[in-house]
Amino acid sequence: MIRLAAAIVRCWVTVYTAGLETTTRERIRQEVESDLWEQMNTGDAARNPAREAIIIVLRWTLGIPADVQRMLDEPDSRGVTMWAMAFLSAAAQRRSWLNLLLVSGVSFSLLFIGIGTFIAGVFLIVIPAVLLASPLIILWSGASLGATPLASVWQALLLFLVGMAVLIVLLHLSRLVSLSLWLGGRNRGEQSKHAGLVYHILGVLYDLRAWSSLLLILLVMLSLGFLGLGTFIAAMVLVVTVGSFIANPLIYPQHAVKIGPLVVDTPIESALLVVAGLWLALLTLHVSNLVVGTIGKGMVSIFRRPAVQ
Amino acid sequence: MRRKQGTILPIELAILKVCASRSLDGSPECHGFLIASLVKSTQDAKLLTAYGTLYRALSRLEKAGFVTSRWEDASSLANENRPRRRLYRITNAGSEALRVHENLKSEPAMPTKFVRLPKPELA
Repeated sequence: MIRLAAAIVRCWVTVYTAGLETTTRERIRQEVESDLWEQMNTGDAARNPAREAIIIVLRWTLGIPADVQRMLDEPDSRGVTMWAMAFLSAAAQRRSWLNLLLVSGVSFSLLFIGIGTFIAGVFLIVIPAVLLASPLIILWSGASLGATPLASVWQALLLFLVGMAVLIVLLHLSRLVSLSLWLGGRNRGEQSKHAGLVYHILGVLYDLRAWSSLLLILLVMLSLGFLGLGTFIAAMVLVVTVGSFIANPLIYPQHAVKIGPLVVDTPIESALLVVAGLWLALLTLHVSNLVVGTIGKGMVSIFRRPAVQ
Repeated sequence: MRRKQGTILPIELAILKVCASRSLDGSPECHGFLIASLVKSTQDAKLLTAYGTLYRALSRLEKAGFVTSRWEDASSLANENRPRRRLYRITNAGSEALRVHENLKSEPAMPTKFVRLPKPELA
């Protein structure tokens, strides 16, 4: 296991020093090689090789940002292709990690927001529907509202009226949302200007725009649940994949690691999987940078005031 | 983020202290792993300094002229089957930088809390 950890460090040093000037490259490689040898030949390594392997992996992982920064600092690092430098440099930028934190936070929050909105949407559909259907429900024997049995027509009528009131309130709120969001409240209708209070309250039942916006709002509320769940599952799958790829040197000696048809059972395969995990982590950093950057630009363009002529 | 010119990072300071103490002990040269072990023991840390952090800090210190380094002689490796070590030694400039930093640290700081004055007695 300790040899595998050392192999991973050597593999990383070979990769990140590849574009450096020969003298610098050889110096870094020999220094790290010497350090690894010293650590592998201490008394601690002989007593507890697994612990020492973990320390080697931790020393390597924690030093990656400094390695990348050193690679960028070196004046002779122009041999590395520009895209590779830009790709690796994401790990050394604090902004990338903040963006990743932001995207992860939003992904996890979306789950709770989405589930909450979904449940609220279901309630908004079910409650008025059940209340309005109470005259029909009363026909069944044994129908009850909680502990109260529904037996009389008056009870059903009262519940129907409550359901109607809830529906009217919902339609008014939906129309208000649609007016404030899309129409800016300017198209309220000339005919309602001189109408009475009853028309104002009940007229919404005939307003097609109120119905369509209520349906749209309910649809959005229900969709947010799936969106939140999907984002959460995607984030979890990504975290587990990257984590298991990078940590596979600690797992595979005890438990077989299988990825589809591939079974990781040699140090080379394990090291390749670690590199794949790191690549995936870097890709995630870039994607979160892209997402935050795009949303940020969008927000700026929305809230930017037009220049005064 | 780039640091300001002339500032010494905590890891670089720890390395300088270790090298300075080794110099006082009469064995001024030490290799990377030894420096990491000594830094760990002096700072009572749980983990050795990461490879990237350690060698980047050493490279910076060398560029700043605070340490010098050389490869171990091949002749001294004749009986030992191990890779060559890069040996580091603190310079006079490094000792001076460490001394200046220690002096700055030992200077009394400005009081950061308000002092409650006694209330004036009424006549």
